[in-house]
Amino acid sequence: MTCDRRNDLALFAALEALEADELAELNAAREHECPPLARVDADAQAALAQLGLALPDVTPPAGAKARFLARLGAAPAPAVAAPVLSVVSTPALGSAAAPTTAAAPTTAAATSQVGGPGGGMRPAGTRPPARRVASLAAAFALLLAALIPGVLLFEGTAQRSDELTAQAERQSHAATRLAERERTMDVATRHLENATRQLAGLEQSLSARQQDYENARRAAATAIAEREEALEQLTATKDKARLQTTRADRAEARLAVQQQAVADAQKRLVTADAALAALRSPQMRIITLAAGPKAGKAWGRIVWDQQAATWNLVALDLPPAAAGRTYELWFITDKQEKIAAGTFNVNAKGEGALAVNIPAGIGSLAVAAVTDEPAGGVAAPTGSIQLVGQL
Amino acid sequence: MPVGQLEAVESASAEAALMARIAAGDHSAMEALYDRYSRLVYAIAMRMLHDAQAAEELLSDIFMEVWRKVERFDAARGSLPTYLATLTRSRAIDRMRSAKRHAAAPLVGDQAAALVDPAAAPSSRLSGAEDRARVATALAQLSADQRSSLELAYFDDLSHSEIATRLGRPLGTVKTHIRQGLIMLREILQIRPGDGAGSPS
Repeated sequence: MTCDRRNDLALFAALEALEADELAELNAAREHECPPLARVDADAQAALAQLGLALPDVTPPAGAKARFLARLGAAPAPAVAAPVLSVVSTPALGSAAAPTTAAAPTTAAATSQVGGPGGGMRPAGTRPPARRVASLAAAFALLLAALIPGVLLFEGTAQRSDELTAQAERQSHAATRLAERERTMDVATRHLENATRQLAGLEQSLSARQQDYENARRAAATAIAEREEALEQLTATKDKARLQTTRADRAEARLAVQQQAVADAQKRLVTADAALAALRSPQMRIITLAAGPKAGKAWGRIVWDQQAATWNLVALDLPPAAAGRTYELWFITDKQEKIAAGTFNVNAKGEGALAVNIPAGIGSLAVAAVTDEPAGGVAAPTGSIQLVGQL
Repeated sequence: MPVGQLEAVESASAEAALMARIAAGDHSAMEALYDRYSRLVYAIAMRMLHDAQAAEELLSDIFMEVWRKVERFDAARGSLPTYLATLTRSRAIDRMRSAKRHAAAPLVGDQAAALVDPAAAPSSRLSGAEDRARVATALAQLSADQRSSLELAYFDDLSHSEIATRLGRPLGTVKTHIRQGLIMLREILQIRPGDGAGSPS
């Protein structure tokens, strides 16, 4: 404990406001290498006394001083060096009645002097004290009268006896102080013993906690090692799974390509079947399509089955449509109406095919044309003519 | 030497002379002492006992105790008003406790009382109107809560917990207030401008 802490505790002790544990702490620090505790106590008491000194003065009630002086042993007292002798010698000159008459007017004067308006409100209250003082003084005088001969005869003895009494009082006081100190020491010793026991308990509990901690640390290390192992296994499994996923993805991609190829082949087969059927039709016409103004060397044919009302288009030497574009076939009537027939693309060799049904009621057809259009086709032609043929 | 300090020394030596006369059995010296300090003692007694008759009895007891045990006061170690204030407070606490007579008197208070000698003379030399004014100024710097916590502990003999209940503040706050107040009071005594006798550490 620091001296500051010890001194703070001593301050609290001066206020008698210490908690039990703080008191034990202070007791434990009594032998500390700090300024003597008694001195700190005194400083603390002096500090606290300032609270009292800061209070506004309060004048004691009227008559308080007179009552105190009466108690002190002399009304308005003369300056005499030996107070014990003066008390004894004054009544020795008079009779037993003298102090009675002297004391009563003095007290009465004191009360009436300070009574004023307040005193007038409770006149009954001022009289009993005066009477009591008077009767006390009378009793006192009687006692003195009884004692006077002895006092006069054995004045010297009385003085010695007074000194002896004072000495005995001092010794008794010292003994009381000593007993108090011993009691304080006992309390401090008990606190020290308690503290020692508590310390032993704490050490034991500390050792147990250290063991607990060691066990917990070992368990934690094992758990960490196990987790790391599990993590490694998990990583390996993940790698394997990722590899398998990759393989599966590739296989799927290959499958998709193959399925696409099958679908294309089926589509070509359907187109070929339709073309073949058209060729067999008794009302079959073949229309040759020539390249449009900017379509290079492209050409094509339409097999028109008039009985089944179908067109089978074959386009050749047509460059593949640009990204986001497609080719669109149009029915064009003799009234120049243009009706969308369907869209198609060409393969790497520039070959494309399309089989469509001719809708009923669109009038007589006059021209077939293929234009370059946005992917998905449009309702009315917007692009340039790639193939065209008169029917 | 500053004038204030000179006055303080003169006042201290005048008080020492007064006490010497009392020690010699001089009633007029005792009366002078009473005239000078009865208002201080009575103020503390009234503040603590809240009863005019009990306060007057205490007032009388205190001056009787000074009369009978005048050797307990050591002018070299502390000022007379400080000694009287400490003595008055200590005896008032005795009365308050014997009046309460609660069987469950806090053990802490009793043990602390055994630790602190109520008659130990304070080492401060604070005295005189100048110093009392300085103390009043310093106390005015405490917050209302700090000051009332400290006063409830000193004058009303309340434990920290009782003060916390009375003021409706948390216990920790009350402890802090009392501690700060006490330390400030101690500093008032220890840090004295132009005075070599500072902190004992």
